[in-house]
Amino acid sequence: MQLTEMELFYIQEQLRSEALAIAKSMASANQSTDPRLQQMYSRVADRHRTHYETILRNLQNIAPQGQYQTQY
Amino acid sequence: MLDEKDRLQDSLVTQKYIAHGYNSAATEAANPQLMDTFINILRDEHQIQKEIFNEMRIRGWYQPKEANTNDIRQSFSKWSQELQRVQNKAIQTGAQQARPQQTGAQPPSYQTGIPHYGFQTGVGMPQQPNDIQQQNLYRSPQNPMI
Repeated sequence: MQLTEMELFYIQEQLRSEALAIAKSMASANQSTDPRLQQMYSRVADRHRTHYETILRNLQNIAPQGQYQTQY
Repeated sequence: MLDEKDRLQDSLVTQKYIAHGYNSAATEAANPQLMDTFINILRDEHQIQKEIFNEMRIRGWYQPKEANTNDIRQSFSKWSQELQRVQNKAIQTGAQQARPQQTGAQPPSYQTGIPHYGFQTGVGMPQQPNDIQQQNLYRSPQNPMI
């Protein structure tokens, strides 16, 4: 399966945004003093984590097998 | 240090940004499976946004101003006429193009004098069942104008 440059760009953009949203939601859950909002932020963090994993799984399925190069 | 209201506001802004990203991503996706993934997540992002919005609203931190009832009525009237105008234009253009051929073919259904409505009012509007005030403001037309 192939991937366009544009698709790869958006995959990375959204992974970055979701990662930040997870971090922010978890921080908000800790900082909030309202139990109702604490719960909401935790649920939101979980949902963003699910999104992140879903996109990552898509990337894994598309990635050519056995050709990983560490470029970092 | 952010207070409770700032945090909710920040979450709302984050959701808007992310949803925007998924919409662009879905538009640019050539891979149908990837497009489905983006659209499914986009829907969930909107649901998260709605939850945050509701938390703000029940605390009185988000009070969008109601549109003027008269403005809504005028808007409906104006855009109903606009649809008629655009459709009539399309029919005239179609008739001009079809004339030279003079085939005895049946005219398209939209030329039979029955108004052709290519829209359904109300569909796709954000549904907020708790918000009775908003529902009362909008009443879908029972007898569309001809």
